[in-house]
Amino acid sequence: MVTERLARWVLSALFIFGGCLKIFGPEEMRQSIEGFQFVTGDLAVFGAYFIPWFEVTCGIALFFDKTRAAAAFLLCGFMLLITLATFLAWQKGISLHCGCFGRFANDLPDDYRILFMRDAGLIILCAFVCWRSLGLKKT
Amino acid sequence: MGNTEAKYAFQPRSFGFAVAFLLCISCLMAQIAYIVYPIDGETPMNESLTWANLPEAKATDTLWVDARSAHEFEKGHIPGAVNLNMDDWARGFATFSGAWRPGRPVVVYCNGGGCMASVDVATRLKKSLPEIEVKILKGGYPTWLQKD
Repeated sequence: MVTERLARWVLSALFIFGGCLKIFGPEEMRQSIEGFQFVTGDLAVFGAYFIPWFEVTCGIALFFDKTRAAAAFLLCGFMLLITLATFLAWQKGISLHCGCFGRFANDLPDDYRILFMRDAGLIILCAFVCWRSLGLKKT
Repeated sequence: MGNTEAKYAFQPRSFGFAVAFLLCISCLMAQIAYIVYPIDGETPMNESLTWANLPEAKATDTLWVDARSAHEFEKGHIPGAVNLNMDDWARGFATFSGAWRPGRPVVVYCNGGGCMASVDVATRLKKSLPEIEVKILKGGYPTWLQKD
C-alpha cells in the first residue's frame, strides 16, 4: 500500500512537472515531436498541445480513486508509445533530445541508454500502479 | 466459514468511462490552449529545411549558422558556417554580421531532435533583422553528416 502510494506520488510529480513545463511552449514541443521524424504538420501541432495537458490531467487523476487505474493505464500506454518512438529514432540514427521536460532536458547527453532506462522505469511504475489500483477493492 | 475467495471489483464500464473521461479532458484543455495561445505561423520553425532540400541549399549562397556551443562547433561544423548561440550572442552576432548580407538565405542548425537552440537563434535573428530569410535545418548537424 505504501509502495503503491509512493509510486503514485512519484509518477504524479513527474508527469505534472513535465507537463507544466511544456504547456506554454507548444512551439518547442512541436519541434521535439518533429524531431522523432514520424509526424509533422497538423498532427505534430495537435501533439504539441495534447501531450502536455494529457500528462498533467493523468498526473492529477492519479490522486483520485475513481480515475487512478485509468490514469496509470493511459500513462503506461503513452510511455510504451514514447519508448517505441525512441527505439525507432535510435534505429534511424537520429540524434535525439526527447523534450520530455521542455528546456530542462536540452543539456542532457544524447544517450539512448539513459532514455530507455528511464522509460522502462516509468512503464514499470505505471503498470504497478495500474495493477494495484485495479485490485484495490476486493469483495 | 464464509467465502474467503477474493474477487476483484474491476468494472470494465467504469474503467472505460474513466479512460474516456481523461482523454476528453485532455483534448478539451488542448483545444482551449490552442485557442488561447496558438502556434504563431510566422515563426522560423515553420520554415524548416529537410535533408531532401539540402542539395538546393548547398547550391545556393546559403549562410549556415551553427547554434550549438563553441566547443561543439570546434569539434565539427558545416563548412563555412558561423557559430552563433544564445550564450555568447554579441560575439557570434558580430561574426554573423560580417558574413551575412541582405538577401542571403540563412539556415540555422543545432544537434537535431528536440534541440531548441536553432529555434531560439532563428527567432532572435528574425527579431533583430526582420528582413532576413531564415530557416531551420530539421534533424540538425547529424542530418548533414548522414546525407553529405
